[in-house]
Amino acid sequence: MTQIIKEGGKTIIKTGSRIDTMNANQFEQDIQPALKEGGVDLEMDCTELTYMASSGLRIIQKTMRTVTQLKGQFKITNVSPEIYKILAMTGFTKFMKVEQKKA
Amino acid sequence: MKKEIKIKNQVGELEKVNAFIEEIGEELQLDMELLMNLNLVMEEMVSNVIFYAYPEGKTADIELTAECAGHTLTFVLSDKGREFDPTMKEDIDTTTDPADRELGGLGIYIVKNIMNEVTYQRLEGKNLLTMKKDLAD
Repeated sequence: MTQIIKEGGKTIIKTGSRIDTMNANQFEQDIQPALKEGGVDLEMDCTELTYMASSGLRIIQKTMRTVTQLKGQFKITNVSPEIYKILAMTGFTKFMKVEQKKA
Repeated sequence: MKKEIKIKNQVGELEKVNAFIEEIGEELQLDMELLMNLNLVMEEMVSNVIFYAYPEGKTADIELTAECAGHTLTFVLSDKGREFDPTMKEDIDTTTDPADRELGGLGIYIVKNIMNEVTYQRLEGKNLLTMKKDLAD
C-alpha cells in the first residue's frame, strides 16, 4: 500500500512492496495529489519495495518531468541493491538522487 | 529441466508467470537477485504480448517454456498475435535525462541487458521470442 506523508514542506511517498504491471496505474493515481504544488519537495521512500517493473520506472520518469516543471525536487531513498542496479542500468541514477538502503 | 505454462492474454495471469519463475528458481536454486531479474524479464515480455499482440476483447493463449541445459537457461515465449519483433525497438539513450526522454522502450532494454541473448522469429503464424541466460555468468 502506498502511503503519502506530509512533513513540513516535504512530501514522502512510501511505496508498498511491489510496483508492477498490475498495480502501476493505482500507484500513479495515489501519488498525483503530491504533484500539484509548485516547488514540491518529494521523496519516494522505497524501504518496503522489493520489486519494480518498467511500468514503475515510467512513473518515476513522468514524475521527474512534472517535478522539473514545478521547479521542485525529487529523490528516491532506501532502494535495495537489486533495484538500484535496474535504476542504474536504465540511466536514472545519473540524473536524479537515488540513495541505497543501508545494510 | 523442462517446464511450460500456458496462460490467457489477461493482466491477472502475470501472477501465474511469477509463480512459474519462482518454481524454476527453487528447482535450480537461483539466487534472489537473478530470480527478481528473471521475474522482471518475463513480466516485461509477457505483458507486452498481453497488451499489444491481440485486438482488444480477443481471448488467446500465450505459452512460455523454460529449459535448462548445462549452464544455459532458455525461455521461449510464443503467441499467435500480430507480427511483432520487440528486439527491433531502438535502445533508450541512458546518457539523456529520463525527464527529457520519450516514454517507453524501458522494458525491452532491461530484458536485453539482463539476458545474454534475445532473438525473435516469426514462424508458422507465431511470434517466438527466445531469451537465454548463462547461469555461470
